[in-house]
Amino acid sequence: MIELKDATKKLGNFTLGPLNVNLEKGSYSVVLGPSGAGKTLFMEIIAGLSDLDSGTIRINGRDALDLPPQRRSIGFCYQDYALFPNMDVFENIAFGLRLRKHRDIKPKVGKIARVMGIQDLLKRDVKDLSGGEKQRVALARALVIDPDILLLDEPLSALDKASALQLIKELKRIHRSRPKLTIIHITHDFDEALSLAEKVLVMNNGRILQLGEPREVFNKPKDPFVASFVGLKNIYKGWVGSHDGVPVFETDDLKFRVITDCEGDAYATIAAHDVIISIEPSETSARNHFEGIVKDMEDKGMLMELTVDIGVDLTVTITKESALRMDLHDGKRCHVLIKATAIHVFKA
Amino acid sequence: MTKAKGFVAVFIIMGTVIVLFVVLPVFGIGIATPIHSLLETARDAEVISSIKLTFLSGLFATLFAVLFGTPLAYILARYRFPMREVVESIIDLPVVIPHSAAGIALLTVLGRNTTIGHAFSVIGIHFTGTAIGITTAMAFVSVPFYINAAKEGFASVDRKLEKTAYTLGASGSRAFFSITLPLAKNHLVSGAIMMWARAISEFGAIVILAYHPMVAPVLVYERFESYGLAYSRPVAWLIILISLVAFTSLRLMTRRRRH
Repeated sequence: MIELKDATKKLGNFTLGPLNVNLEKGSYSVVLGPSGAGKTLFMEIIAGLSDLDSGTIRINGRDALDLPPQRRSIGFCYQDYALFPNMDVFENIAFGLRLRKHRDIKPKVGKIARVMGIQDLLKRDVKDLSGGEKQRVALARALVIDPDILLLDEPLSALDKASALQLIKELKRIHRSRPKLTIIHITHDFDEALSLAEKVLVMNNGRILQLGEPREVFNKPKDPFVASFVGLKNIYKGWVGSHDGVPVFETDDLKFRVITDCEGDAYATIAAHDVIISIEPSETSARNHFEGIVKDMEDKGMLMELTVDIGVDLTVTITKESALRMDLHDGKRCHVLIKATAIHVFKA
Repeated sequence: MTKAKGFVAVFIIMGTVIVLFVVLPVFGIGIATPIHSLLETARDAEVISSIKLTFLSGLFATLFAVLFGTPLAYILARYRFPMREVVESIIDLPVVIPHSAAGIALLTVLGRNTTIGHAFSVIGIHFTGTAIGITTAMAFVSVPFYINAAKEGFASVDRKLEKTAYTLGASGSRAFFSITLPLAKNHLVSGAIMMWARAISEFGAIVILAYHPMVAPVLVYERFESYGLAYSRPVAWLIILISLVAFTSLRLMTRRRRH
């Protein structure tokens, strides 16, 4: 378990925190956020490579505030692998074992190399490896000392798509086979986050804006930044009122029927694929009907992204086929239907 | 390409001027020196001992800089601290001050009748007119060459490699000796060679602090002053030749190790 309480760190103009996080032992957490959000610094704090200005950090129940990185039982993998160029693959992996004065270094290195599929590379110079091979060596070097925590700083972002997918599989396997290993993984890739994370942390400006299960974070953001960061286009600021005893989200221009316990100032988000477009008005179960005009259409491969003016701009994605069938074009009038349950409301 | 041809040609001609400017005097002196007088000079005991003294003093000056300058170079490369730029400027100072002035300055603090000079003389170390004085003057004028190269070498080693070593369990010194130092080694060695080369060619500061025993540059000067150009030329040519051979072979040695 990694526990941070009111943890802060100032670096020049940048302030990290105050951070309050609990990450369970054996969990796989993915940290998402734009560059400059403080993700790497967050990792370096956990690793002990950077000291806190205030607050506390506990690792597996032990106060880690004054624990140097050497004694935190941590494996750290950087985006550019940080392999020691003055050593071959074997010596890179053996480095941590040599420091621990292990007796059976050779079998241990051999074993982890087989697990990572790099047993044929042990005599190679690290400069001659491909990106995927380098990252495997870096992982093997971190895992061979059997750490409690594995920190991965954008481990896949320098790799081509195929190698990245391979390593995602590898990381899943590592996670499954080591139930006590707590993994924290920084990325800016949503697919990576969705396929690996049990918990997602979204960071911006040195703070953790949301921590939750991936589906929750992507579908029910708690914060307008998180909403726009995870790719939700339709984010509205307004307030929640009531109309005939039914909750209504209102902006200056528009009213939506919604399902929410929120009251007062709030944000509402609508996923672009949850909106239905029709040419004729039709009777459906959707509680929100609007008339609109297509303002813009953008080709997204299989899909079409429309901007429809319904008093506010609403982004809608539909299949290209539907767009053709309905003969949608700029300036075309249409009807817009949104189910009340498709609108996610959170407090401002 | 075709458009750049004339432009490149001009640059090549201008570059040739510089190369000739350096090469002509060095080989001109060779052509002007008869072989027999060169061989005679090579057997001259005074010349031999002065060359030995020069090379050894340069070596000790360099060792002194490696021992004390390496930690400083590492700190300057790795840490941002107040006064860091001041320290860097201080290290560069010997490059900008005239070497005769450097000699006067050294004599002022290390001479026989000064506090420091007196303190050292109690333990038997004298700076004026001794090999130690020569080494000191050499170290003073050439130390920036080593420190700056070493600093560049340490800065070229990615900090993440050290951090990774820490997480794998390495102490600060272990990470330094097994990661940082081996990776910066080429810079350090080439800095040491440059410093040594600069040290053995020093004249100005040495001539003031220790005219005797005579290092090679002082010997050339003395022969020129006492006997004239023709008598100083073989000594000068011999020293140039030996320096060239020593410098080139050191360079080649480090180049081979790099590949």
